[in-house]
Amino acid sequence: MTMALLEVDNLSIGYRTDSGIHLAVDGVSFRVDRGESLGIVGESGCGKTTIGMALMGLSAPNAKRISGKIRLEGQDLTALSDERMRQIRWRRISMIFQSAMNALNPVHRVRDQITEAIITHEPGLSSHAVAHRTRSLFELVKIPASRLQDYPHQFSGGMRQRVIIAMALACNPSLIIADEPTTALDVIVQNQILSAIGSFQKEMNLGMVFISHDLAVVADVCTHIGVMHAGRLVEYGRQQEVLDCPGHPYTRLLVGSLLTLSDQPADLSDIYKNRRL
Amino acid sequence: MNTPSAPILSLTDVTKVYRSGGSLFGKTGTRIVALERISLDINAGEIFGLVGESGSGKTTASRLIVGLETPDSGRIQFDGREIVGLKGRARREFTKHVQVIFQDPYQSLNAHLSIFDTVCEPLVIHGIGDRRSRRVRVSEALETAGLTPPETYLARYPHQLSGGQRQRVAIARAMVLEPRFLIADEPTSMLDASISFQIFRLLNRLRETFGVTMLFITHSLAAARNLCDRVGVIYRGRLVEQGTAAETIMHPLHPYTKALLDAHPRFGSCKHKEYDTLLDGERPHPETDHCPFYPRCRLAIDNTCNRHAPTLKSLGTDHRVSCFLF
Repeated sequence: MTMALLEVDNLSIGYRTDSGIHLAVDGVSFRVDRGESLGIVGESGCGKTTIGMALMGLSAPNAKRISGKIRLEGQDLTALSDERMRQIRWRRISMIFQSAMNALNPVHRVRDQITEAIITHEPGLSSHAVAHRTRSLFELVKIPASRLQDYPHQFSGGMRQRVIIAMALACNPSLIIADEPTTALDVIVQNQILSAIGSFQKEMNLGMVFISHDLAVVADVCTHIGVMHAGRLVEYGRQQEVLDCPGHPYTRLLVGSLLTLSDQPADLSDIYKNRRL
Repeated sequence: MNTPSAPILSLTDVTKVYRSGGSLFGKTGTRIVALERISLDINAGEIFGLVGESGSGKTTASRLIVGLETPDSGRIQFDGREIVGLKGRARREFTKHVQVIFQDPYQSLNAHLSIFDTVCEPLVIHGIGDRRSRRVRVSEALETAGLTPPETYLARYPHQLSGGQRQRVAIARAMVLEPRFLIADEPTSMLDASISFQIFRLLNRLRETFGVTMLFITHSLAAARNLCDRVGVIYRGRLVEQGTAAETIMHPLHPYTKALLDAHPRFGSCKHKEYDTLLDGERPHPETDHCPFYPRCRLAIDNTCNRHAPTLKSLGTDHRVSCFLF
């Protein structure tokens, strides 16, 4: 097999609490190649964000990696020092955060926040090149260049999320982690952001790990689906296969709970067949 | 599905305007029109879905119905009786019949009240029953809401329950008075997918078992499609389309309804038709009266949609749309 862009091998992460270590991620393995997108779905508390943070090397102080390796193009990220990880983060692997409302600094112009990201990670670049890249990033996420001087509060939620996406792309990464990137947005805006993410992921041939609680969104965007339950990856495969023939009972429950717009509405009345309502 | 009967709740030309800013002594603040001349009928025994994005006015509508706000104009009738301005005993009698399930079960339950006290409170407020009969009714309500066996929940507190269980407590609290009308305001948006599916089933069963009429407020067309008999689509405070859930969602007319459908995630076998009614950008808002969707509508007709506001017109049986294209 060729070298994967991202390879996660038997990853287990626990959180230190007063009552011992609480296992949040339990022996998870998956791989993502360039041009592929893996959607990780699961309910709140299943460990999906813990994985995202571990991939970025931004785990909480009380998180402890118990076992496993994270390899980016063959290089083991878990063995790197904080300093080396800082060089990789944002340049080769970057993240689109959940809360667009809070991820931007309210007292700086959006342009300055993007240029700062570029200058910090690529100090050698001329100011002309930085300005050029900022403008083309704005073009990519479809925000008019005239809005570069604005402050975050002048942007709508959808536009702020576009700025966050532009920042994630600022240093030409090869892998993007998107953690619930559209959760707080309205349906129409959500769809616009998802198609923006989908199109640059394909155009730039990026690998993507897309974390979401919403199987419908993941099914729309991703080539592969991983289903998490209580810290374990209980199902993992190509999108079509997971949706068409879910193997694990939990995946079947999730697929069965998908509400669609089909001709035939879901049967909400078969409650008496079920033990619990 | 129940056969349509006389409306149990009617809104006629209801308008609600909020004013922001301005000073204490003058009315110079900006006017925000939350609802503009909304008229709709909800029939006894049906589940009516009000679908819209955040800020469309759907929650304002529910607050007006339960009397948390008063409309600036228009009439709201429950069972043929005007309910705007009801006071005292008449108001209390009305609230006995109309109960609300709120969006966020983490905030809508009092953390200091046990589950028994939470569900019992409406009975105390309305002075129904004595100690013993209240205990029976609370247990029954919990059972109805799927919290079984009820005895194991009575002494617990909200923090000891999951989100889905909390929402069931909120449903039990609403059902304990045996209301005739339930307003469910995005009851599952804080819950995980498999849990919210169970809550939909529960709501559907409440309608089938107790014949309770429901106003189901949601941003999700899929939820409306699967749970509701009829739906109304609301945009910027105006009802733009109304009809049976099947007809409105499978054969939408209004460009905004079509845009909502286009935005729905598509995958596998549920790849549906693309309508493409949404402009890439946005036109400037005209100074004159105009269709609320004009600035974003690809199909807008010049000199019409930007000059006049359309009104709801009937097309066929129970399908109404507010658009100059029809």
